[in-house]
Amino acid sequence: MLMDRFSEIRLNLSERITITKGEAGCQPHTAMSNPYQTPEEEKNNKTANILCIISLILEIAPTALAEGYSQVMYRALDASVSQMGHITSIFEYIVGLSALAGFALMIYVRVKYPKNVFGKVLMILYISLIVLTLVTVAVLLIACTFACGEMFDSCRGLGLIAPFLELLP
Amino acid sequence: MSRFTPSPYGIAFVSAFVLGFGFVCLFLRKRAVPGRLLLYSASFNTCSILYFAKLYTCIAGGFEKSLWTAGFSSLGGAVGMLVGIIVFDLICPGYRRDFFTAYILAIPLMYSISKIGCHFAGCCHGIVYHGPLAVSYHNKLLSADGLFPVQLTESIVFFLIFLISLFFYKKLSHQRGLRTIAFTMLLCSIAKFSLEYLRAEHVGVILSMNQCVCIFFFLLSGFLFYKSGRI
Repeated sequence: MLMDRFSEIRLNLSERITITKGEAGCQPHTAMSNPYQTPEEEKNNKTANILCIISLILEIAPTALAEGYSQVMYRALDASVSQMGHITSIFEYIVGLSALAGFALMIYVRVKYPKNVFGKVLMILYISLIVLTLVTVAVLLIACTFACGEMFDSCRGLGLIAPFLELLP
Repeated sequence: MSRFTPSPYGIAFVSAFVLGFGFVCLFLRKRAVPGRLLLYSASFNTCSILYFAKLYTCIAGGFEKSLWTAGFSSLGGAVGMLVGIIVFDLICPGYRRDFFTAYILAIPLMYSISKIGCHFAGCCHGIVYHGPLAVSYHNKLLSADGLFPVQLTESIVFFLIFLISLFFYKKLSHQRGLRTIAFTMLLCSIAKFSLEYLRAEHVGVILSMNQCVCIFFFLLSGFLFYKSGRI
């Protein structure tokens, strides 16, 4: 009785080893790459990665296209400055809307697939970009105000000598 | 030595965002909304508000200005916030009522603070008026005497709307979220529609674009009231 039980356990074990070997033989990469990830999680991860790539394209592609298009138009068609301005302004609306869509897609990935690493990286990247843009704009505004102030300060004494130099009427 | 003098418009603009989102965060944290969702919604709504505030100005000006050179429109910002909430609701529908209530309650607060900036800058100025509290502007943007302080009036009116809506929300017990949204939207649309007549831009115009948007919000609030079982 005991022997029968023992042989049964041994048979089960050998069967299990064979199956594992077989699986490892068929899908060596999957079995070795992430042993803690279920097939469901892996599928989700793939979907999240695709969505992240689309988000990145939505953020970058319209800007690059707009720049490329305006350059081509400017060189090939010899468009006037006003026409160029009109084309650029149309692209600005599209770029803005596309960036918003890319941002929304990143949030969707973060909400639906919170464990996805690409989504996390994208979130940090986008938020850093927003903060960096706001800081740059603020610094530029302050710098311009300082520069203008300095310029007007240095021009203050010019009023006395300007008529002699025929700079002012 | 030149000194850097911060612009009152910029201060009011930033304060509107800080106080508005501060209120939203406090409101939603009390309802146990996860912090990461707050971060996502706040960052997305900031982008949406800025984009639509500029886009609205471009549309109102007949696309004469580019997105970079166009100014910010407060009503466009409100539309942007609404679009932002709707998009965020599509992404994460779990806290629908809380998010809508918090952001719509914050709209009159943000609007009232941003209008203080307009008052100091002189943009969106009022009609010619020589009575008490008439204002004069002599800056790069405008040089005029005797104008109605419509920006300051808007600021006070919308702050009162914010307080009344908050009080209304506290007093309600049934369907409070939906009714507060409808009530706030109703008050804001009526106030904005009426105050538009005191703006210089409205002279010679029967129905401005801002008023058309107000009519849309008025109808939407009526529909929401109907949905909440009020009518």
